[in-house]
Amino acid sequence: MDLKKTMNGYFERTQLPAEISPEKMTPVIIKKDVKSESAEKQPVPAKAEQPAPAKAEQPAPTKVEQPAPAKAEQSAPAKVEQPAPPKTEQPTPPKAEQPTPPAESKPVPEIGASAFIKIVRHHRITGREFLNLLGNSKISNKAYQEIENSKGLTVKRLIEILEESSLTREDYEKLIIAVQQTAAARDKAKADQSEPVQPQAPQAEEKPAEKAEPAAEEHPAKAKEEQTKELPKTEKAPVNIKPEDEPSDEPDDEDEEDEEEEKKPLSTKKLFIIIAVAAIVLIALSFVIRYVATGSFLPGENGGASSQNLDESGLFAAMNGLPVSTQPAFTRNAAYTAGTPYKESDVTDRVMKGDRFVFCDKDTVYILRCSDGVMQQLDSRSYGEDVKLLGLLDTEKGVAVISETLKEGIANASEGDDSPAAEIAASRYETVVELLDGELPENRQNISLYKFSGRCAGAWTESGKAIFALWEGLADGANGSDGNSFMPYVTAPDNNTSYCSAENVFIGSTPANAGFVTVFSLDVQSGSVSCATAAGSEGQLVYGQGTDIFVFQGNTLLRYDVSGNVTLKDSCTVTGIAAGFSAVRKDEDGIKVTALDNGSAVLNVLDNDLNSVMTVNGIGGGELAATCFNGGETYIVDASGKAYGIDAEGKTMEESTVEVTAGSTAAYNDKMNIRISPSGDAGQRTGLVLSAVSPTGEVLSTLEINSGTVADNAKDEYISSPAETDSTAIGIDAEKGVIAVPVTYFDGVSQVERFFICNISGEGELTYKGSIIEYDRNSSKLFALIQDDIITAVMSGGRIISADPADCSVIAYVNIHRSEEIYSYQA
Amino acid sequence: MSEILTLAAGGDTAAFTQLYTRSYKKIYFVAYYSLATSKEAVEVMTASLKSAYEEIGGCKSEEDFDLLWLKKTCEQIIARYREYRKTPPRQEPDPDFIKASMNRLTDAERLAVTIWAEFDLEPKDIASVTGLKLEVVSKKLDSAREKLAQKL
Repeated sequence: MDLKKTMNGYFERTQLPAEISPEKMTPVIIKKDVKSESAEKQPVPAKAEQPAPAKAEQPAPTKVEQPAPAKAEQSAPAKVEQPAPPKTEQPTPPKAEQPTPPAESKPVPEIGASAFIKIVRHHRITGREFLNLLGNSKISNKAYQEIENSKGLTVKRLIEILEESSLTREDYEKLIIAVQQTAAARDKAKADQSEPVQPQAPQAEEKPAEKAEPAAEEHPAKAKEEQTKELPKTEKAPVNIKPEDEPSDEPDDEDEEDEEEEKKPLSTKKLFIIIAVAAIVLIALSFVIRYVATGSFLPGENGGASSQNLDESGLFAAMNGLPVSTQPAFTRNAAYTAGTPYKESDVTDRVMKGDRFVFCDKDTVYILRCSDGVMQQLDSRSYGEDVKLLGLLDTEKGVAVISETLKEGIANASEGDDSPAAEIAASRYETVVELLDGELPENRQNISLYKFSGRCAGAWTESGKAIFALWEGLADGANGSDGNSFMPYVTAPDNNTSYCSAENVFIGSTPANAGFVTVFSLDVQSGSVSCATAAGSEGQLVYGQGTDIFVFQGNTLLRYDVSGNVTLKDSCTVTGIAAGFSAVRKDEDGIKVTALDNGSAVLNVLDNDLNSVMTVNGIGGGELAATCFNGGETYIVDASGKAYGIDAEGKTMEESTVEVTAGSTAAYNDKMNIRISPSGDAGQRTGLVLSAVSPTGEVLSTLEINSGTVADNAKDEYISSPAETDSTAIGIDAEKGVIAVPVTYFDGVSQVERFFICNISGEGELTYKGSIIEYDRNSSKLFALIQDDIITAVMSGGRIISADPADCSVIAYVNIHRSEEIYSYQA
Repeated sequence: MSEILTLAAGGDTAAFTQLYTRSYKKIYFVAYYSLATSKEAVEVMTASLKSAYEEIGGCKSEEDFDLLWLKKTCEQIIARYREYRKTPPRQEPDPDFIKASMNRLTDAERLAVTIWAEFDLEPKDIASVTGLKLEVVSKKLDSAREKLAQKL
C-alpha cells in the first residue's frame, strides 16, 4: 500500500474552510502589508508604492480568521477530550463530556455513552442503581440483558454496548439528570445520617464523611471540594458499574428519591425519614453483600481492593486532567525512633565492597581502594547540575549508583533568535541506576546503565535483585494515544526501552491523582527487569520487607511480590487513608498500617494474608508527624513530639516501654543504642553529650564533649556533630566495643574536624580513648567506619585518615579530590 | 528573485494569489491534521503566511517561499503544541476517519507525517523546516507511518 498516496487521497477530500480561499486570504495579507511595512522591507520596485486596493473592503483580520465552528469551541472548557476514535477502538472518554458538577443539571454538549459512563462513575452509582436507571430508559432489551448478565464487564465493553444500543442523545440527557438526582438524594441521605448502625469493628463505610480523604475524585478543583462534603468513604462502596456488584433485591430507592426530588411538596420530615430508612437498608445490604462475597463483614478480609481493568488509553483517560499529587511517594518519617532504629530504605551513601570503598557526597561519587587500612583514590565522578545524586545500593553484583535526572522531551525544536526550544514530547524524571563493575567499580567501561521512569522513593536489595519504588506524575505533555508518552518504562543497557504493561497497573475505581508508583525489580545478574504499578492516588507510602513491597495509597494497601517477576500479590482496604505520618511494618506478628481517620490516627493490624485482625481508632490528634514501631508496639508521634503508644493487644499504653525520640540514634546492639545530642540549657548549646542508652531509654552512661572535657579550646557553642541528624556517621564496632564519633567545632583559630574514639563496655560504660583531628577543613560529609580493626575517618573536604583503634595512632592518610570534569553516564 | 515573487512582494494581488495558490492547500492540510481544529489551522495558516510574507524578500523562487511558509507554519504549530501541554486541545466533534486516525498519533508524529505526505520531503528536510532533531523526525515518522498503515 502506498501510504502517502492513501493519505493524500483522504486529505484531498477534506473540506477547506472558506476563509482560506485565495480570494479571501489575499486581501488579508496584501492590504495589511502594503499599508504598514512592506515598502521598507521589500526591495520591490515601483509596485510597492501602488495604492493598496480597496482598503475599505478589508475585513478586520481577527474577524476574518474566525471560522464558524470555532464559536462552539471557544466556550468549551479548557480540558478537552481526544476525539472519539473509530468504533472499534478503545474509547477515550471525552474531556468535554467529563462530569459536570452535580449542581448543574444541564447536560454538556456531545452527550454520548462515554460521557454518560463518566458521569455515572463520577457519582459512584452502584451497579444496581445503574441497572435501574437503564431499565427505565429506552435501551433495547438485548443491550440491557447483555449488561445485566455480563460478569466482569469492562468499561470499554459497556460503552460499546451502549453505543450500539438505540439510546439517543436525548435519552442520555435524561439518564444523566436521573444519575445526578440519584446521587444527590443518596448524598443527602448519607449526610443526614449521623451515626449509622455499626458493628464492633470499625467500618469505614458507615462513618460520616471526613475531610482528609484524598481518594476518589475524577476531576480536580470543584470535585475535590465536593469530596470534602461528600462521603469519602463511599469509595469503598462499589463504584464500578458492573451489574454484579450488588446482586441483591435492593429496593428501588432511587426511584422514590427521584420523585422526591421532583415533587418538592413532600414534607422534609417525611423525606428525611424515607431517606434515612433507605440509607440504613443500603448499609445493611452492603454488609450482607460483603459477607456473601467475602465471607466476612470486615473490610479487607479476603477481598482485595477493587481495580479497574484499563488499557493504556483507558489509564490515560482515567487520570488525564486530574491533579498530579504534590506529595511524591514516600517512606516512613524516620525522624523519630522508638527503641532500636531501623532503616526504611537500603539506599546509602557509602559501600565497602571487597577492597573497594565507594561513597558519595553532594554531586560526587568517590571510589577508593583500601589495602591494609591504606586508602587510595581511584576515581571521582562529579555529576553535572542536571543530575541529582541520590545514593548507593549495595547489590550482589556490585555497587549501584542511583541518580535522578529530568529527561527532556525527546523532540526539541532548535533554538531560534526569538523562539526558545519547544518541547513537544513529554519531559519525564528518570532514576538512573549505574551498576558498577563488581570487582573494579572504578572501571568506567563496565557499567550497566538502567534508566527507570520516575523518582526514587525507596530501594532495597533482595535475593539478587535490586528493587526500586519510583514515583512519577502523569507526564506533562503525555498523549493518550501514545502509551509510551506516559507509561512507566525502563531503558536497559542495550538502550532498549520496555514499558510497564497496562495489565500490571492497579488503578482504583475512582482515581484522585494523576501519577504512578512503580515497583521495578532488577535482577542484577541477568539484567532482567520486571515491574508493576499502582496508579491514580495521592499519598503513596512505600515499604519493603523481604520479597514484599507494600504500596499504601488512599485507603488501599497493595502488596507486591518481588520473589520472581513483580506481581501484585494481594490487596485490601483499610480504615483511614495514607498520610504523611503513616507507616507500614511487617514482622512475625503480621502487618501494621497506620492511617488518618477522622482527624486522628488509626492502627490497622492485619494478618499475613491481609485479613483484618484489629483496628484501633482515635489515636492522637492534631498534626501528626510520624509512626514508630517497636516489636508489637506502635507509637504515633504528633508534631509536638508527644507519643501515643498502643500495645500489642491494641490497648492504649499509659507509659511507653521504650523511649521515643526525635533525632538520631545509632543501633549498637540489641541491648543498647548510641545517641549524640546537644547539651546546654535554654537553647544555649554548650557542647555535646554522647550517650549509651538502653532500648527503653535508660541512659547507661554519658560522655560530655566540650572544651572542659575532651574538645580542647573548643568554642562550646560551635560544637556539633553530623551524627546529631545522621546516626550512620558514627563508626561502630560492637564486637570490639569501639565507636568513633565525628564532631566539628571552632577553636578560636581553626575549624576543627575531629573523630572521638571511645570504648564501650558490655554494660554501656563509655570511655574516651583518643581522637583523630584535622584543622581547617570544611567537609560537607564527615563519617567514620570501623572495619577489620581499622578506623577510617572520612572527611569529604579532602582527606581520609586510617587509624588503629587500639591507640588511635594514624596508620595512613590519603588526600582525596573532587574531579572538576563533569561525569557523563557511560553508554 | 522571480517575477512573481517580486510582484507579490510589491503588493500585486494577482501575483500573490498565484503564489498563495501554489501551496495553500498543502499548508492547510499540514496545519489541520497536525492541530486539533480547523479554526486553529486557519489561525496558524494566516499568521504564518503573514510572517512569511514579511520575509518574502529573502526568497529567490516560489519554492523558497513555499518552504518558508511551511517553516513558519511549523513554528506556529509547535507553539500550539506547547499550549496543548498546559491546556489539552478541544478536538472537533465527529472527526472523519482520517482526522480521527491522525488524532491517535502523537503531536510530533502528526507534524512529521503530514509534512512527509503533503510536501514529499526527506526526514532531513522535515527536520530543517520543523527544527526537530533528525533522529526525532526519523523515529516519529517511522512510528506514525506504522500506526497509520494499520488504520488506513
